[in-house]
Parts: sequence; structure tokens; C-alpha cells
Amino acid sequence: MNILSAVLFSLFFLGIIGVVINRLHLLSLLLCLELLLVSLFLNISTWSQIHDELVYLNFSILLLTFSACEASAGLALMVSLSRSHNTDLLANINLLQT
Amino acid sequence: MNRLVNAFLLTSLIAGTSLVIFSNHWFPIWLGLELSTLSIIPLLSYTSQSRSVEATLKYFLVQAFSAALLLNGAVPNLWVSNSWDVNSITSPISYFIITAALIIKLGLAPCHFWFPDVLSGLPFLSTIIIACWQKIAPMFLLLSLSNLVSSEIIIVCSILSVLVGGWGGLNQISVRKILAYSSIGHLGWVTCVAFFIPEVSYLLFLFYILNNTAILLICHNGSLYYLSSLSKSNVVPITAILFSIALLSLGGLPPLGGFINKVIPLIVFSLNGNNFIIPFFLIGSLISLFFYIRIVFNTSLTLFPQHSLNIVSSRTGNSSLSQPIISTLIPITIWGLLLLPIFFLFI
Repeated sequence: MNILSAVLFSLFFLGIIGVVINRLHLLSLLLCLELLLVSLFLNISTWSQIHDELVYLNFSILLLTFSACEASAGLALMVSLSRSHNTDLLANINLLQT
Repeated sequence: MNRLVNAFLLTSLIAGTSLVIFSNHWFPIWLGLELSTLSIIPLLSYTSQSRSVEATLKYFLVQAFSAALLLNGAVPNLWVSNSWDVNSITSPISYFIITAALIIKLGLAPCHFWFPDVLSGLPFLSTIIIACWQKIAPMFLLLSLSNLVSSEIIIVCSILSVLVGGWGGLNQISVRKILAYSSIGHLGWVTCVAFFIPEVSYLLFLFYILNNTAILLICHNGSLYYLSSLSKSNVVPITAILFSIALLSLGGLPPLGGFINKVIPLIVFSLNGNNFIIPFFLIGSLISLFFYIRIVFNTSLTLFPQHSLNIVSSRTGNSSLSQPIISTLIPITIWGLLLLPIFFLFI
């Protein structure tokens, strides 16, 4: 079980590293945000099957639902941003520095 | 925006924050934080101006990342102790990840970099929601965690916040950025007592919200977006005086209510014998007092030479609803010092 939770948490840390060192595109940032939530889903599903609390499988599906809502909100914002700024690149999203 | 849609989004915003405050299980807390983030996105970005859309995007990315981090931080606790209860955090990794997520959500230093950018892209009414209402849920979580496990992370972050709030606001010309840095500094003062007596932090937080809302409403009424428009502002003269009083109260000058925000932490520090950290807080708040006084100077204490055709009628205001709200919030800044004895119930 220690190896199992270590593998699952390494997925979580990969997601964090992907969000933090991303330099080029907004879409890859949103993808790594989804990776964080999917790793959460895997973690909770695994825990609930090992410890026999099967109600948390239901909970995990709700988690997926809300992460889908959040992803769609992020994509809508990306569409709105590309309509106003005409680009997806993170270096061009710099209106608010002044 | 459509009145029905506006009402629905504000209702779900209030519902999300209430869900966070009143629950003991990690799932409704994450749900409430996500709900408040998702319901605020249309409220901030419906005008489709470039600055608002960019500010909304930055706000959404930070809040979504920190909410995912929060629930992921509750999971090590799950593997160790099989419990979803908020009030039983047994694993130190879990405590660290959850605290880091809440610090990113609140905008405390060293994770404060998104906050001035987001506030400077939004009109003042949206600024009130971001700077005052959205801080309630993560602050409640942070303070309830401090009740269980006191750790030095909070003190270090609050010292850094006060210093960043002071030095960051010095070179700004945009009033929204100045108020953002002042908000960062004030949250540093609010959270510093959380290491010692977390119940008192709620009182300091209430004062911060009331004072900040009054100032932001006055700025909205007069459309005071930049320092250059402060001297040409067409507010009613009594509003200019109350604006100055509210700003000096935010700076923490003694007969006004905001002094509570400064004197209670100093009493708590000296009662616990931690005199070493006091100079950091005093230096940070002194520097922020300088740029509050700069705003006061530009608003009320100078009269630029102007052509007589430029003197507009001083009875115009952007919104007729904000005047009674300002009138009910300002007495807190004037008479607030009478609420100091509440603190002595907690010692």
C-alpha cells in the first residue's frame, strides 16, 4: 500500500510541476489542471476500494462531474481570451502589468 | 446582465461560501469553493473587455489550482487516519499542503502575485466581491486549522505579507493596485494572531472587510480609478471627508476603528513574549500608511487650479444604492474603538 499511494501521489506532483513550469500555451495549463483532478479521482477510488468504504466511489463520480464543469469553464474563458487577445500564448497575456 | 441570471449567480456565490463555513467533511468544502469560483466567472467577465477577461482567467486559474491542491492535501490524511473530518488532521504532509493551498487562495505572500493583477483588471463592484467576500471561506478554513495545529508557516507568511503590502504599494498609480497591496498587508495582520488566539482573528477580519468595503464603494461612486483622477473627483464634500477618515482608519491611526487591527496583535505578541516580530509589522504598516496618506492628500488636501467651466456639479454619483451602504459602514471606522473590550473576553 505504501508503493501504491506513492505512485498516486507522484501523479499529483507531476500535475503540480506541469502547472508551475508551463511557459508557452494556456491550453497545456488547463490540461495539467485536469491532471490534478484526475489524480484526485484515482486516489480516492483506490482508497475507498482498499478500505471497504464503497460510498466514496459514488463520491468520486461526483468529483469527476465537478471537474468536468470546471474544465468547461476554463475552456470558455480560453475562448473568450482568444477572442479579445487573438492569441493563446501566455507571454501575450500581459495587459494587467500596468 | 439579465436580472434573473445575476440573482442566480449571486445566490450560488453566497451558497458556496456558506457551504464551506458550515461543513465538517472535506467534500462540501471543496464543493463550496468550486461553486463560488464557477459562479463568479460570469459575473466578472460578461463585459468582454480585454482587461476583465484576462483578470477573470488569472483568478480562475489560481482558484482552481488551489482548490485541487486543497482536496489533494486532504488525501494523505485519509491514507493515514481513514477520516474525512476537517477537525482531525494527523499527517504533517497533509497539513502543509492544505495550508499552502489556503495561502494561495487568500493571496498571502509569498503567493500574492496574482492579486494586484486581478484586482486592477476589474471594475470596483467586482473588486468588492473578490477582495472582501471571497476571502471569507478560505480565511475560515485557515483559522479553524490554526485551532488544531499551530505552525510557524502562518507567522512567516503574515510577516512577509505585511512587508510586501507596504513596499509593493509604493510605486503604483492605479488605485485598485494600491488597494490590492493594502489588502495583502491587512490579511497579514489578520492572520498573525492565528498562531496564538485564532478566535480573535475573526474580529480583525470583520473590521478589515467593513473598512475595505466602505473604501471600495466610495471609489466606485466617484470612479476613482487612477491617482490622477483623485484630485478631479466630483464627490460630495462630506464623502471626501469620510473617504479620508476611512483611509486613515485602514492605516491604523488611534482614535479610529482600524486601530483595533493593529493594537490587538501587538497586545497578543507582547503577552506571549514574542517581541522580536513586532518591528516587522510596524515597518510594514508604516509604509502602507504613507500611501494611504498620499491618497488622502490628493483627494482632500489639494485643490488643483482649474478653469471655472471644469467645476462639475458635486451631486453626481454613479449609483444611488451605494450611498446608504457607505453611510452604514463608515460609523464602524469612527466608533470602532469602542469594540476593543470584546477582545479582553478572549484573553
